[in-house]
Amino acid sequence: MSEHALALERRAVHETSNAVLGMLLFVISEAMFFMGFLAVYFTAYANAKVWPPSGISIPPMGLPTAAVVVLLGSVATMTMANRAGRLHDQRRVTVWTGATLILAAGFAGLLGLSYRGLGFHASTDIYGSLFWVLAVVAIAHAIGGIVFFALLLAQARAGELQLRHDPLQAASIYWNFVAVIGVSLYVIFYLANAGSK
Amino acid sequence: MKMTGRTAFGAALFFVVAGLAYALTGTFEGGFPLLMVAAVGVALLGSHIVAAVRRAEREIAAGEHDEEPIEPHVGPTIWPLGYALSAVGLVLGFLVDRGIYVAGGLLFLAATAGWFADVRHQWRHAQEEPPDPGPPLGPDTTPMADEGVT
Repeated sequence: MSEHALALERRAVHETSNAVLGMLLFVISEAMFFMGFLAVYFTAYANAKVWPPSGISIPPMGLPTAAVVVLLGSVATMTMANRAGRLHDQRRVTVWTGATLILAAGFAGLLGLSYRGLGFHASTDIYGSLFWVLAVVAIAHAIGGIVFFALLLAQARAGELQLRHDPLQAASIYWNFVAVIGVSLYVIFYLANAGSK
Repeated sequence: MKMTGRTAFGAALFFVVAGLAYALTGTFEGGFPLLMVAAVGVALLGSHIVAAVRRAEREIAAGEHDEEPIEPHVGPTIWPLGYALSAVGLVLGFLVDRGIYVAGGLLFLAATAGWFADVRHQWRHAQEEPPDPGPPLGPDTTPMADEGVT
């Protein structure tokens, strides 16, 4: 390998953030995880005469809709935090990360409330199993996001995000993924079944 | 890095071809979207690596010296394992006995506090002892015999 190629290689390695690369790998594996469950859901849906199965009542849409709106709002604030980080504006990074943390907590809370008193359980049938597994995993991701944003906020307040921007990028990738999953589950479990019963 | 990026794009192409073949011949409806998700994921990884190589090429062309990354050394920490175990506790609490929730929840809080403390300790340590930047990693200013050869 020539000196030039070696220098390019070493610099390219330095240009690659471990946090961002690790988050990308994590998100890819998580996407496969969710797709596996959604594939099972759609296979069951395609083979069922009635969907959702009889005895399952469609959950009310008010709280899940509010949760999705809050989630989309948190994506906007996360994007602003990421942008402020690129511009090295520490004050705005702190403000937008704090706003994202509050909205993420609101999303998790609304999601949790929307799952109360549904009238079916994980052991009811395949719909119940898939609904609850995906619901619990979605809430777990929201809680993971809250922990992540709290850590970022602590780093932002300490001025550490002035030194490096990649934790914000990684958080942005993670939260955008959570938003895609949240909106997908809302469409599949609520909107698509809205006119069923 | 360049080769890794190309390999990732090659893998993405492979998944696309495999997905199309599966869509035409397979019986499980979920196979095609799963292979497509894998293709998009690997392509995303490849594009991230290729973007890093291009940034490096631009910087070398502009004659900028490389700087040692500020990212501190992240020491080993046991707390992610605590998180994983707390997730097991929470899932078992959901499926088996609600009482296990408490153990899972307590472990979750302990792992959060421990991990935060570890990260803060590492940052404080890194600020007290900044890493030795060492010699610049950019191309030497002296002409080289094989300069221009890639």
